[in-house]
Amino acid sequence: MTTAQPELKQGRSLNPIWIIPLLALALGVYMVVHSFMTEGPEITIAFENASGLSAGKTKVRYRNVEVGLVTDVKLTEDFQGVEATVKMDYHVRDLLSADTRFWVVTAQVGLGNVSGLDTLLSGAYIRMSPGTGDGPLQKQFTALPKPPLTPADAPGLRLQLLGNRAGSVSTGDAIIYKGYRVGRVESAEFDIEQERMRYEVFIDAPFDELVDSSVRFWNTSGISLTASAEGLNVRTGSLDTVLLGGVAFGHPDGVLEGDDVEPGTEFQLYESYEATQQNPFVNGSYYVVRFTQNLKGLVPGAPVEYRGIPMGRVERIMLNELIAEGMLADRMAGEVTAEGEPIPVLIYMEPGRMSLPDTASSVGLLQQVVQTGVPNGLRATLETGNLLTGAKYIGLDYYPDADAAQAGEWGGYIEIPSIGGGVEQIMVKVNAILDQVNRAPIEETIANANAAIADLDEVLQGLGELLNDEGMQALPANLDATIRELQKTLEGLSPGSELYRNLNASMRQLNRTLANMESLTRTLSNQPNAAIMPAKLPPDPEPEAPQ
Amino acid sequence: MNTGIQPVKLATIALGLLLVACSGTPVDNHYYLLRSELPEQSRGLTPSSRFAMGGVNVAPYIDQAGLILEVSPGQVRPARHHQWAEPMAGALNNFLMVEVSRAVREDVFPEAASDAPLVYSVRIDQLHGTLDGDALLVAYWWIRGNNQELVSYQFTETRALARDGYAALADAQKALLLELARRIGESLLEADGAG
Repeated sequence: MTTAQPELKQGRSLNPIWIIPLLALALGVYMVVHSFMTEGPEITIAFENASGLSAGKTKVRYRNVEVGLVTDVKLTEDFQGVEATVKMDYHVRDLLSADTRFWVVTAQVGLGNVSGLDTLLSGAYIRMSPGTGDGPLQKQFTALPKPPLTPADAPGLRLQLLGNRAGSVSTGDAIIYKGYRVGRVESAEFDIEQERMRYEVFIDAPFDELVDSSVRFWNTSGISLTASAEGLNVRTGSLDTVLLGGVAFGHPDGVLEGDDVEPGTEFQLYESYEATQQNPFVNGSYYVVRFTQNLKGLVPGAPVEYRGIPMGRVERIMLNELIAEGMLADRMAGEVTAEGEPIPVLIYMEPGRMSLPDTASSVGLLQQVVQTGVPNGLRATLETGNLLTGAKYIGLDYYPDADAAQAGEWGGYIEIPSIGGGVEQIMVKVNAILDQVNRAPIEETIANANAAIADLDEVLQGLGELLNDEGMQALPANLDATIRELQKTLEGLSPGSELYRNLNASMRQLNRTLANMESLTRTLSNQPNAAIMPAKLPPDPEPEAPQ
Repeated sequence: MNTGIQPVKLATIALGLLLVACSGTPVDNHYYLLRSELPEQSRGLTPSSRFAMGGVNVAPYIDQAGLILEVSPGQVRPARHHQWAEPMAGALNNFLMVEVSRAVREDVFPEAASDAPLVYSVRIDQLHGTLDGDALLVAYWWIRGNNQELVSYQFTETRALARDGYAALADAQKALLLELARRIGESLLEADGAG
């Protein structure tokens, strides 16, 4: 009989009692890790003030969904603003990029809109406008003072408008195309550097395709009333633009479509539609013309014309550049030419005025035309536009006989050579004529003329004596009497006169006599002795009446 | 020796010639007047506003004093002792003007003294008598209107002499001329009505 022996195993085994703590530990680690992994980012947003912000209460919403909570509100270190700490949800962390924007939504009631009324009950909240998602996670933001009018991801085109005065355009005003609202003014601020108003506008898609480099923007706010010889012309926009203001855009008359524009492109904001018509072109280039003539009457804005066709305007007389070029230094050095230093004039020419597209490529084409035209005789002349006022303008034309020249460069601009023209040329010709007159033998001519006049005087004196003669003075009366006598004589010979009748009767008698003579001649021819001996002519045959 | 003619002989010869010359039979000439009938009364004349007389053209053989007698075909003989009292051209002109006026019952004046639109002109081509006792008148006339249009007519008629002699021939020719004037008057009225 065998006896079972217990099998003893050496070693330490975990008491099951520890399973629970370990499980709790693992669960705790998991929770810690999970919490760490799913915890939303904590961001700070800078505000101008803490109006509407409350720690633990103010929520952050995106599309009206709570995506964060303000956990703390405190002043910034420099006390110039407020910094709010916001605990954001984990799942919106990808929306927190550099262009993500935050602003406080409160109730607003204005002429243009009414919004945020729900905050009267629920309290203000922070609205988030997510960014594009590009770039690293951003945790520092500055809140917008006002709600943005356009979401950052809205399709469309954002442009810059530059106006000379603030006028009645303000943020939120409509952008109008042919009376239809296609966008809005997002911001309006004064650009100190350019001393002009700068407006940021947004054109909603698909209307952004209507914008090209040739369009013009003008203020349509209020009512435009113009009076001219054609009568009163009233232009108004829609009722909201009349009341609230607005900006319209379109192509000026005669301006072709331009190139596509990039976001952020700057456009001029004109005061009115009429202003866009006055200077409808945008693209152009500057040229320099240097004149040695008197520039009195040539003012900025004076036209530049090619054979009478307006091509641009005079920008200014470049005296500063002339000084910078060293004219004074030359003068000081005594190197000034006899004609003096030519005075440069800056002109601006727009290819759109020559029915070319109002684009940058047309500007290049015009420059090419100028550069190739100058060797062929293209010259600028200083013309007098108004003899009364002395206003002058610059004319361009081809002068094949002009001295050979090439399009140069002056002050960084293409230089078009100039020649004397218009009144200047006339003055030159007049001076040449005067020179010839001066060279003419005037004294000799005058002496000859005096002699001729003396001879003529003698002749006239003799003629006067002749006319004063009694016989000569009686000549007209005698002539008149003679004519009267002649008239009487002619009247006596007229068909109704007695002389005429007598003459006629005499002629008849003469005819009859001639007839008798003819009869006598015939008788003598038949009977030669008829003059002596009685003629024995047969009697006239008697006609007999029929029986 | 004296060979000249003695004055006594010369006077005798002249006396003889005178006696011979005066020994002929005296000629008895007859003169005929081409005139219209005397008007009934004196009155003022008013130029017609419709008709005027252009002219009367007479064949040269007619325009002589003696009345013409055709003694054989193509041969005429003007009478020496039967003559018209005045030149035929003027006489025919006056006669036709008076008789045409009578036919249209208006005073037709020469074209030079009238502004009338219708003007007639006449050519007398033949006017003579024949040995067998007929008077012949061949004439043409034409009327010119405002627009220079022409309407032409022809008149050819004979008329038997009522008795022998040149006086009857003158009467017959006058009757033919009266008929011609009446026809001209009718054609003028017709032309005026047509216009």
